[in-house]
Amino acid sequence: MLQVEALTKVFGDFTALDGVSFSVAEGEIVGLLGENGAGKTTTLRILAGALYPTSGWVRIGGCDLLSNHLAAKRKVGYLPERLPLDDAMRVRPYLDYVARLRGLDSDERADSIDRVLDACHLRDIAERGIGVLSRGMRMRVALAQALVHNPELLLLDEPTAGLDPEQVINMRELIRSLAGHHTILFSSHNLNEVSECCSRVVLLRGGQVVAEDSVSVLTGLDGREETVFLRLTRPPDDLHDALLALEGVVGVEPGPPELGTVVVRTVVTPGIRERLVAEVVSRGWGLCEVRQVSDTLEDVFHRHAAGNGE
Amino acid sequence: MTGATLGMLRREMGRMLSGSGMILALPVGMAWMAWQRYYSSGDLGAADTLDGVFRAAGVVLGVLAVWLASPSLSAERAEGTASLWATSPVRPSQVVTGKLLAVLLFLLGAALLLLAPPLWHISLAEPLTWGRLLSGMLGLFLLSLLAASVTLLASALVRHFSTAFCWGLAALVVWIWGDQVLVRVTGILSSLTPASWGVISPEMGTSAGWGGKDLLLPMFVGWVDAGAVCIMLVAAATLLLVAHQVVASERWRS
Repeated sequence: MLQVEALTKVFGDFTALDGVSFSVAEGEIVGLLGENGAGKTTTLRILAGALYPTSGWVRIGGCDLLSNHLAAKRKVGYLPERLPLDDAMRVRPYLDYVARLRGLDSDERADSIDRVLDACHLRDIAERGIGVLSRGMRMRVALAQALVHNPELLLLDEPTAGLDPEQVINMRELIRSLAGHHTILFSSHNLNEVSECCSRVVLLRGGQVVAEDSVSVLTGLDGREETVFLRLTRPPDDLHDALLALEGVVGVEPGPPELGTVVVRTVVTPGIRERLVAEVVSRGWGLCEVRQVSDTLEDVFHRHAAGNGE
Repeated sequence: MTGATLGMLRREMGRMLSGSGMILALPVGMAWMAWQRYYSSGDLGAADTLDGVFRAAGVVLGVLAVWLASPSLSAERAEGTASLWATSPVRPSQVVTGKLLAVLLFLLGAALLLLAPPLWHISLAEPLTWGRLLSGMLGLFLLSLLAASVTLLASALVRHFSTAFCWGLAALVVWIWGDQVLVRVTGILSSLTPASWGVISPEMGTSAGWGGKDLLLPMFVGWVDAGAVCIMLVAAATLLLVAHQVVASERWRS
């Protein structure tokens, strides 16, 4: 559905994107993750046709974005971080205006507007002014404008930014409900959101893709590694070296000595946790707590952001 | 006309009709028209009175054109709604055309409102000739087109509509009253600079022939010069072309 190859964008002497390549299959929900300035918004703006790349190419549903940008734009719906709403208009006329911009004829417009009003739960406020709506409702209207021409590819830039917790939950449900009907690429700072909604993540740092994989692989849930948390009442002085010497242990991060906590990363092999516990008990370190900790996407993000990811 | 242009036009018309400025501008314009008709023209005949009506309508419509066109592009950019066009299958020419047509359509309505009462009153005293009416209307159209074009360009270049309004108004003033402005400016400058410099003299700017007014006024008295019409159309087209190029630029979108 979406192919991005060697995408580069230079603003003056600043390189915002440097050879970004990734692809998104039809029906996938992919998260674009990165720190501020990593290039997420620039990537989405290029894909939406608002910016031209310095080099590289983008193909959307078989259309080259640069050589056939009008046809490619018809396949894309874009929700920018700054909502493109006209506060002076009411919801339905605004959607009608956007539908005209997207090239829908009069027969299609009425049906399309009704469809997105229902999909985004806006039917009750269709005749209200946009300027008086809450932030959550405004976000829904902005999402509706991105959907009004039934695009194959939906680009969402920070779709839950500024929403309260309940609105965030509703928006996530809304995004998930769109899966299957649209291919979705969205950026977010909210790592929970990405892990909840996305089947795959593209991790950006300094304008480059540093990782691209499924959420389960990036979080270590595919079985390559696992993290075990231990609390000891009598931790030895050489705790770090002693644990690291054990077979299957690949990393040790001791907490403050007075707490006696330690996080151990191990390869996943049968019985590794039993062996670890047996070793700690046999050495008389006073084991009082042991639990498995799954890597969150945030851990992965920080590992890659620090430049020591795999 | 494409659906996108029509959509743009409809939205602009809605915005203009809901603008509080119009509620004030039309009565003020009509009051001025009445003043021109009943007090300023004295006991002149219908032909001379018509000249005054067109002159007054030209000023009202020119200012109205600047007022309407000033937020057209700048406000969209400031509010972030310009990203809708940038990411839609819409050409910059459709955007500029839609905005311009909306302003001209609104001005047509305003012109009918402004001109109908005095023209009806004048026609009671003396029959009006179509040639005189049409040449006057052509002059008003060209003045409105130029005012709207220069303000659209200003609106594309700046981020705040008040700045675009000031630019557009300044251009209109220079166009209509440029000779008087120049006389006053050179008069002030010549009084401030030593005569021995010989750079600026009070006589500068007093020579007849400031383009804008001289091109327009003959039309208000029934004389249409094809050259003058061409000059104004080319000027408007050039301004709109530059506005189109500004809107099409990546810097404007970002």
